[in-house]
Amino acid sequence: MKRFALTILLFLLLLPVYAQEKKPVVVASKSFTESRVLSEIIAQLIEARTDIPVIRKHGLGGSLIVFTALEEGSVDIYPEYTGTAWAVVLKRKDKAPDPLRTFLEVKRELEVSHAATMLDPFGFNNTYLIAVRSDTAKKFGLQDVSDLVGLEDELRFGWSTEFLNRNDGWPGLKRVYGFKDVGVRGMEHGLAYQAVGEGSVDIIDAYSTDGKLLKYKLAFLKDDKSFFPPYQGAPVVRSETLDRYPELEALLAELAFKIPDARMQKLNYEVEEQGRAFADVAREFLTDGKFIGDETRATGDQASRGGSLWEFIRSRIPITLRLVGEHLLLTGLAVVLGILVAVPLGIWLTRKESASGLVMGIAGVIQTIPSLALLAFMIPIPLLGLSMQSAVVALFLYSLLPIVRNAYTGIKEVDADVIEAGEGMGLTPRELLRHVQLPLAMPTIMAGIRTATVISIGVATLAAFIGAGGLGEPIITGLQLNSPRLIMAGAVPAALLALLADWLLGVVEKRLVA
Amino acid sequence: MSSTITFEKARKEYPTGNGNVVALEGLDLHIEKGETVCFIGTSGSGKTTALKMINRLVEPTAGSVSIDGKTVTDFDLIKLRRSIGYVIQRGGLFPHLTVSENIGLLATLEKRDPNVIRNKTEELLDLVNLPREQFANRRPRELSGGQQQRVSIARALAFDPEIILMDEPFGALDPITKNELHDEFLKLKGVVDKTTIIVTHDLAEAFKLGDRAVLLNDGREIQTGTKDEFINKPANEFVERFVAAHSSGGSV
Ligand SMILES: Nc1ncnc2c1ncn2[C@@H]1O[C@H](COP(=O)(O)OP(=O)(O)O)[C@@H](O)[C@H]1O
Ligand SMILES: [Mg+2]
Repeated sequence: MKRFALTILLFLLLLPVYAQEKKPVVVASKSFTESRVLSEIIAQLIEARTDIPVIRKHGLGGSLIVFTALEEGSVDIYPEYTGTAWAVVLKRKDKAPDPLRTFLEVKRELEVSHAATMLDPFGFNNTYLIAVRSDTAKKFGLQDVSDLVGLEDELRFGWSTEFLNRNDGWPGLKRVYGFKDVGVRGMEHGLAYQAVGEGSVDIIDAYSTDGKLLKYKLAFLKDDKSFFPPYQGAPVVRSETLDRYPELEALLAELAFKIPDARMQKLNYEVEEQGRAFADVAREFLTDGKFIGDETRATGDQASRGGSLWEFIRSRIPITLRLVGEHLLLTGLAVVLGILVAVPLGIWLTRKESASGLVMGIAGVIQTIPSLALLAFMIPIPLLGLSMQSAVVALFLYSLLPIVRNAYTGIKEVDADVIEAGEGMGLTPRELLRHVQLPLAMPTIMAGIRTATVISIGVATLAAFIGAGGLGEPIITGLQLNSPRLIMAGAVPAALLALLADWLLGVVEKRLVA
Repeated sequence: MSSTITFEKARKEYPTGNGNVVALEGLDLHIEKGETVCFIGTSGSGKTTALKMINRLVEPTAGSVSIDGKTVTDFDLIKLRRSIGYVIQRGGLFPHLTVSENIGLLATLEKRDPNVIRNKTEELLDLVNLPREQFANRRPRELSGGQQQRVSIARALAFDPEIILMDEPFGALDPITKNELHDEFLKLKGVVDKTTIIVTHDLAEAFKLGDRAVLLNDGREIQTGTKDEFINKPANEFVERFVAAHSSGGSV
């Protein structure tokens, strides 16, 4: 048993060791289209122009996760926005100044306190826009953001979750314009457009380079109090990475000011509305601008739209199999580790009652940590970072409570007469455990394991937010691209997997108990 | 193959929320080889406590219990318990094991020859009147209360113990089944020679099965003796009333 646990541990620790001479550069993106397009452009540029191996980590769940990962060392480069870095990364509460000063200050601050730097901007300024349905704008005569003051009760706000929680988002906007505190719905950004299109909300926050803006009948309100800080896109790079590969600085400088607003909007549009693959759009941009040569390469990217449902399903089979494999590996390792730790722990607690309250309490508290937050907590931990290990550890922590609780109650609930008979006839505590208590507690223990497995399979869909793969990948991409098919391509197999695992464990349970 | 059992000033106090409860006050008792003694008394009088001191499920607060002159604490705990058969009221059979697995569990754990175990198990089933073809592979929940107690007794006899302890073994059975088992017990006693202690609150049962009875009340030994002695020479008024109460029920 001990050796088995050790093997798994070693395996986990060795996962990130790749058999490559040159240390790869990890290029990451956040979980929205633009970030991913830029990240793909950077990745392809490095691949085409250097012999540095590139690893992509797409769709990470938010600025804090990516930046924490960058500081920790599991990300080398990612596209960031000056205004975002100002508020989220540097945690500055004061208003960002003009674009140039903001950029210079972010760059300096990154270099001084975060062992990173920001290279020259791509050229566009993807600032927040406040977008209103055209008919609503007409009805209320809305032109400036100030015009909204006093209409808080009549209009429905549909802010994206990130906007809702950022100093340079709704909280600041509220303060500067003097909005009243009203119930505001937070939603995923991709869904906000759909909501405003259907009319279930009236006002949303949008990015000024967003391709989707062309698709809906929206009016844009002028930020008349100049509240929104500049959001110039620019690559953030670890200093250590630039020390190792100084050539990257000059290479990425070639992209400086080559992507103005309109160009960025078009790139986003091509992916989101025309259903083109990220890799294709990025490559076309690079070849058009003569950044790289014109040799066309097949890509692994799957187009998400077009074609019949049947064709779509067929085209998804190979990638789904890989994702299911990853998903199973994540949850399997987590639950096996959970069993190895929580079953003995639960048994031990039946003999050490005084500790049971504390241990169950801790396991219970872990259970209440929101899944994405728990995943994010893993990133700064040495050896974990932005990887499968982090996801496995987080899922493992989640699996503890149901298993430990059921192991504990299972053993406790064994009939006292049976225990007394066993002790009285001279079974050693070990024999009693092995031949009486464990077999009788098995149905309860197995129920705990089943619960833990089903929870794990569900939570593991979030692992993709920290780049750990699994069936969450198509779900995140689907949310970015607003593609229900793609969301289903992750959600349906995950649900089936949960049902299947539950059924299989039920069969195992019958075998064990019989 | 049997042993003597001696209680010397054996005393037990249980700690509780409000002070200690004295469950047994300095019991002095000597039990001969092969003798059957019944501990009798009302509920809470200390019978179970006294019984469990022998297989050390209860450790005395003061005084001692010895087997063949050797204090029980000087034995290896596991060996001691394996040399003592133990039957409890609701049988305490292992619900996940078959009848024969219940009986053979210890022997199997000690890695005895499976053939020997099987023969021994079948012999024991015969002894307690359970046809082996019919019962060997059943599980406890597929047995009546009386059948469960028979299996429990067979299990207690499996290791050829020198001592058998039974805590209200027939207490939960209907009168007819109880009578049947009494008769079988007496027959069994003729075959196997063990020092036996039976806890009961039924005086008729005590007189029928035991060579002697020990009457306990509130943790104190009131009288020890044969049926004749209890009826003809009651130690005090309490014994008189106890005997009268039970005989008016018509079962003595
Ligand atoms: N584990 C225990 N903790 C506290 N008190 C106990 C415990 N076991 C028995 N007692 C008390 O000791 C007394 C004698 O109990 P017991 O020996 O079980 O009596 P009997 O078997 O004659 O019914 C009772 O008052 C009972 O409540
Ligand atoms: Mg009792």
